[in-house]
Amino acid sequence: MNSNPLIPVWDAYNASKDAFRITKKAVKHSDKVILLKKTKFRLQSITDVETSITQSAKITEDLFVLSLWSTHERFVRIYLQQKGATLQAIQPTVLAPPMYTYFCDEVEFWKPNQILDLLKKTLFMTDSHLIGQAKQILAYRDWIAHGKNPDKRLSSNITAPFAYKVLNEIVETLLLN
Amino acid sequence: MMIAENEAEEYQHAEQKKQIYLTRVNQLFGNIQDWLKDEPVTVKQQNLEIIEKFTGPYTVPSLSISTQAGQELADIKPRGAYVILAEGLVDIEGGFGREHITYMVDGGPYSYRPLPENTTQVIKKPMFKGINEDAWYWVEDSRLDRANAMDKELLRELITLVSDYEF
Repeated sequence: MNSNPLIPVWDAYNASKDAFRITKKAVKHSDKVILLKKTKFRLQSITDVETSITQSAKITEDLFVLSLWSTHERFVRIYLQQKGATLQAIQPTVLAPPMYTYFCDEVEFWKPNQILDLLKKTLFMTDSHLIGQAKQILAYRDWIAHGKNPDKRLSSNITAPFAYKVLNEIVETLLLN
Repeated sequence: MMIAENEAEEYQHAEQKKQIYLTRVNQLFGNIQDWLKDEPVTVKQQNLEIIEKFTGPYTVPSLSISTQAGQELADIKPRGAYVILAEGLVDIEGGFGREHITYMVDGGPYSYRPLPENTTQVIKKPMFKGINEDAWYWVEDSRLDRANAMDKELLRELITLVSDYEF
């Protein structure tokens, strides 16, 4: 794994923002009957379409934070599993392959916060605040994934661009190590 | 914004952080009123309530920008003092999208990257280029790493971006 998996997610986020903008322009375009053909928008009023797209854009930003997190988390788990590959070289050799398999299975069950703590104590000792920011993104990801509980207040606002920035810094650092 | 690891400690700092944030929002809104005073738009200030974990609910000003004919262009709404990588968040939102404006201090956030030739050593690197003073910034694209300080021209561009209105 030597490429950054967050870049396609980030590009998709920007593409979706542009797509929403273009759709809003299409609704008011003189060729809108052709442009909106075979879409659900063709039977809706301009106001309803605009409201729908505005709401969709906000939901989409949250979903991209979720996607950025899950892509990042998968990258880190695979990174750790690959780093554990030296277990395959231990003695006695009969122990090595099953022990490595067991390690890989276990990594799948490590809690995201535990993984972040591991990174904080090791590769990010000098950059522990970055892991603190990642924990805030994780809390936001959990909040979205569990239905945005209105009674639960999050410690920070999270935007998709800054979530990308924080998680990308972690991925880029791991790629260098 | 850096949050104390001990949450009880963060609650003690919250009121001070809120006041600093409100001062910065009011400065930004004062600038926006000034930047738009000669433009063919109307700016109305209202109040709204936001709720943050550490501060609880509080009232903030918000701005609504419309054409002189009454067409709504953009709302500028504070989101809160607490935001990752910055010290305050304000959204500018119109029919064509939403953009985030954030307050950056001390050159903005930094990261510490291992040196490619010697990964046991790290270099301190700003996450965003262009943060030369404590101010409100818009980050055009997080991949380009460039932050742009808010000024009259950028405000006009952002209003156009979120509303499709051309000045």
